[in-house]
Amino acid sequence: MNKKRRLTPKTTYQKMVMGFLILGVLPLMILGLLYYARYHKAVEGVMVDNYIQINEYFAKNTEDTLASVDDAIGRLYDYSNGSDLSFSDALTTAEMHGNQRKMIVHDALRYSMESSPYIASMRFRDQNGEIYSLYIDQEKVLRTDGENFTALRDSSEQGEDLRDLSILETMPEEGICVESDDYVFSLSRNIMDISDIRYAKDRILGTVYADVNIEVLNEMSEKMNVRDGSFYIYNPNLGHYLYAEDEKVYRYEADPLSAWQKEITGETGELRKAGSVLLYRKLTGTDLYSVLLLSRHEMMGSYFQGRALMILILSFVLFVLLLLYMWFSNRLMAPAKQIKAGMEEAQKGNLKARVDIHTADEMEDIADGFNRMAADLERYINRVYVAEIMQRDAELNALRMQIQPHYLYNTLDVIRMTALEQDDPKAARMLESLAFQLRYVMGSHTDRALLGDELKMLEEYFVIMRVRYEDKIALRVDVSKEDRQLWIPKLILQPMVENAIRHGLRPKKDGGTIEIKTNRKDDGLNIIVMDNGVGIEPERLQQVMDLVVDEDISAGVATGDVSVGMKNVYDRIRINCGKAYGYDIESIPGFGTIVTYHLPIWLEEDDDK
Amino acid sequence: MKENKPPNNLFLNRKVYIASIIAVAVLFALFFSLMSDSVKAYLGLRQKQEPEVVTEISLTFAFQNPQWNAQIEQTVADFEQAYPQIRVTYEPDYEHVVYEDVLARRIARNELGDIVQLKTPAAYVDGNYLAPIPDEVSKDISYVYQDDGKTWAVGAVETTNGILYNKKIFEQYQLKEPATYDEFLNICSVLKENGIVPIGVAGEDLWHMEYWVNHYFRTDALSKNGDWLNDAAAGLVSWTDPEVVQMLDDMKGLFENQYVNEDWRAVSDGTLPYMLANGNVAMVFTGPWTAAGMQETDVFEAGWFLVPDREGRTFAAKNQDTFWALSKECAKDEEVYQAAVCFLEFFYSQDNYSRICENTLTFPVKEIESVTGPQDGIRADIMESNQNSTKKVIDYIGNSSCPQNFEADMLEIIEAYLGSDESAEEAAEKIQTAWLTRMETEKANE
Repeated sequence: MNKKRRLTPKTTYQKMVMGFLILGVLPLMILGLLYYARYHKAVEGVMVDNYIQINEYFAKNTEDTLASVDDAIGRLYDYSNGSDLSFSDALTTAEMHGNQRKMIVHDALRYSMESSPYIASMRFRDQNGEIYSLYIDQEKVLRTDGENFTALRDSSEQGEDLRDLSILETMPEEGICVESDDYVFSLSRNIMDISDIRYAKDRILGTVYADVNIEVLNEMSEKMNVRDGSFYIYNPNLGHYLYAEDEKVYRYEADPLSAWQKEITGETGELRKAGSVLLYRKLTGTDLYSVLLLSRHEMMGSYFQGRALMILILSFVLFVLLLLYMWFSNRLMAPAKQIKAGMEEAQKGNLKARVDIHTADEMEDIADGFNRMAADLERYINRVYVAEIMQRDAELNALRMQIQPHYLYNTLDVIRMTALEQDDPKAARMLESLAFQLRYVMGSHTDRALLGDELKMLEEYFVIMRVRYEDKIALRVDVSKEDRQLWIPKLILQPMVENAIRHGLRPKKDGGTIEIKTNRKDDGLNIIVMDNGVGIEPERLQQVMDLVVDEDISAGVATGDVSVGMKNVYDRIRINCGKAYGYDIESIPGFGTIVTYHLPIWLEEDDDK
Repeated sequence: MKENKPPNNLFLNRKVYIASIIAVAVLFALFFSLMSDSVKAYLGLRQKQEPEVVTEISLTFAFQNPQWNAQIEQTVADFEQAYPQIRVTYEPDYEHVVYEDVLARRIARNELGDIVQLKTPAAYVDGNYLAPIPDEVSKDISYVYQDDGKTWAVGAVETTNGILYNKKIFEQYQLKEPATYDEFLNICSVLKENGIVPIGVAGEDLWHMEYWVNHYFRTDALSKNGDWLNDAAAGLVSWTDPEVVQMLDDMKGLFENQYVNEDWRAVSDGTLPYMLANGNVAMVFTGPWTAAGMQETDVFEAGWFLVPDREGRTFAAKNQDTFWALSKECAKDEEVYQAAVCFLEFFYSQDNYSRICENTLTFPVKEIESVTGPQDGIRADIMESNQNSTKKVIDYIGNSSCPQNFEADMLEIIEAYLGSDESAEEAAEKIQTAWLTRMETEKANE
């Protein structure tokens, strides 16, 4: 049988592992990589969008805060005290006493401040240079040299309307008032004299400043809970900061957005520079922008960490899965291997091969099946062999019993007489021989016979053989009188002699001789049956002897490698005489064959029974 | 024993061949679906949200009555739908503040907006707050404000004032619309005797007093001298003159005789319609728009008449004090200016304008197809009483002939007078003082 060298997997186990790898692990990994590649970009986009939303929220909150303060400033127009005097009245009524004016102005400022929770203080400067101030924190007092911070805004830059809101950058409050280490920014408006609508846009009663503590925006910024970036409220036209997380900015010791200043334009936008992302959104109605500066590294940092961890975990899990799978497959396949081995054994003829599997699954069922099959086969063959033997025995018995021996003998005798009358001594002699053989075989029903008798039978057998083979074969018996008196199991020589004639002498053209000798050795009797036939090839001889000697009764018989006779003789010797006895065959091809019987010495018929 | 095996290689090959084709096809399909999705998604992934190009214009109008408000809101909604790229913002409610104060405040903060409703445009033109209105808008409008060859404000609607009364109550007590002032007083008397409040007055809104004040002023002063206010400005007549005293007396008469609801100081103008509809009061001095919001019920049916003078003459108010103007700020940006002009044109368009006039029961200021609707009955009454009136009077207290803030002063004085023991003369004195003070201030300012 040609065994090709195959590159494909040989065992189920290998196939399963390959299948698992190719159809399971590999596609998973490919898909994983594809999805990862696709979403990597998307993730950053989503994160930036998220921050844009946050910045929107911050901007909106800041807008609301500024609107609240601006509305509060507007309430100065609504104010009127118990005597129906308005803020305007207080400032325009020349006859009014200074103290009364002061009282009304302060009351108006308080009325205004109350409507917004963000105002920390209000300052007002009228046309006469008088400065009024109101602080929620009682300890704070306007500095006497702080006048420059509470100036009258009565001259406008180009394009600026004096009535518009002005938002001043954040500065240390200590410049304006004593006892403060706070930072404030101010919203400033001119309060107009609206008594005559025609001149309302030109007549300034004074300039009011509403101060807001930067803590208001600090708290807002903290609530946003952004750890990967910083917020700013920034005016790119002037490079002013309304809000920055680093206080140094308010003291002009830092300018973190200077690199971006020129690029912050329009309503909203997104800028990138060297590992940073800047998101900005304009505050409606002002020149201020809400700015969120992010570090890409920090922003994506937790994502990268998470990703690395995920990859690590996935790889580890995959590896463990693979190991488990391999171990499991192996265990699954082990019984199959065992069964395969058992079958190979049985194929060689060893029907005693059994497979021992207790995995409580289909493999065990197959193993049990195999075992039963082998056992059945063994039994069957034994039965057949035994049956054959039994049949022969039966046939023999039948022959013995059913044939009337006397009739047979008499008939043969008659035929012999007739042959003699007809002048055929050869036929007569053959008949005599046959009668003798028959008597011998069907005679006493014992399983032992005298060697002499056995030899006599052989000589008679040879009478017929000589005729058959045209005198080409001869028999020489060289056995002492004493040895002829020994008892041996019945009919053990004849099969061998038959074999010698059939296999040894017949193939030879000029026939040959069979010689029978005996000798005694070591308390045992050896009977030697020699022939000068063609002999037996050593391998064949070895094979035959192995099968003959095999304790298994059925060995070799089923395949026809060994005749029933040979095995029968051997087994009978062993059974009747003992395991130490039997025969062996030596042969030299082309020369001859020697069969040597090893028997015990039985002087009496019932020795060793 | 030879086994009949199929040609091993070929058979296996074909199976593998087919299987691998399928596998590859599936993988490719998967791959491409992923990639195509990814490509599409990437392209659309971070499309910057481009802000829509929208022009915003702001509208400032006087919260006069619910009908006018509702019509303005409806106009804005319809306009925005017709012009999606323009958005109109407006402040809905000034509570009980006088509209002029609202405008003054806005001007002080440079927040006048783009389109402004004005009652007396003169001062605003003088103060240089307005931008001229293009001719295509102003050309067919019956009353406009012009100065120096330019149109600065265009009339929005024309309206009138009168008594809105409950016909069902009148029927119940067999009352007829009065032909003379005495008949009117009689009606009040009858109603009072029967436990019905004859007249509903909303004193909480100072400007509500305008109705009665102007009625008596028309009837007692302007009827005799159409130029009374100018004369007063020139010092030719005084608020202490008899006609004014008469006017104050007559007005107080209503209050002294308790023809007016007792809680008049605390009632707001917006509550009066409910009081009418419930039959709590029989008559209210108001504008026709109030009738527009009221439906006939078991207890109410709208009726209208003008209060006659003792001689049986009626003097109808021809109110031309609702102007639209454009601010100077508006004209600074061409897009905003065009959007505002577009809004004005839309305002006067056939469908929109006729709806406004119908629902506010006002008179159109430009030619449109006749206005009809469910209010035809009362509209006819109003028009009839107007047409049948002896004289149509345009002037009113607080117009451009008066100094700024005088009207508010006068109304306050009168309100105080009506609720106190003050005599008409005393009140008249106060009014005159206020007049002079305001005149002075005005002159001083110039």
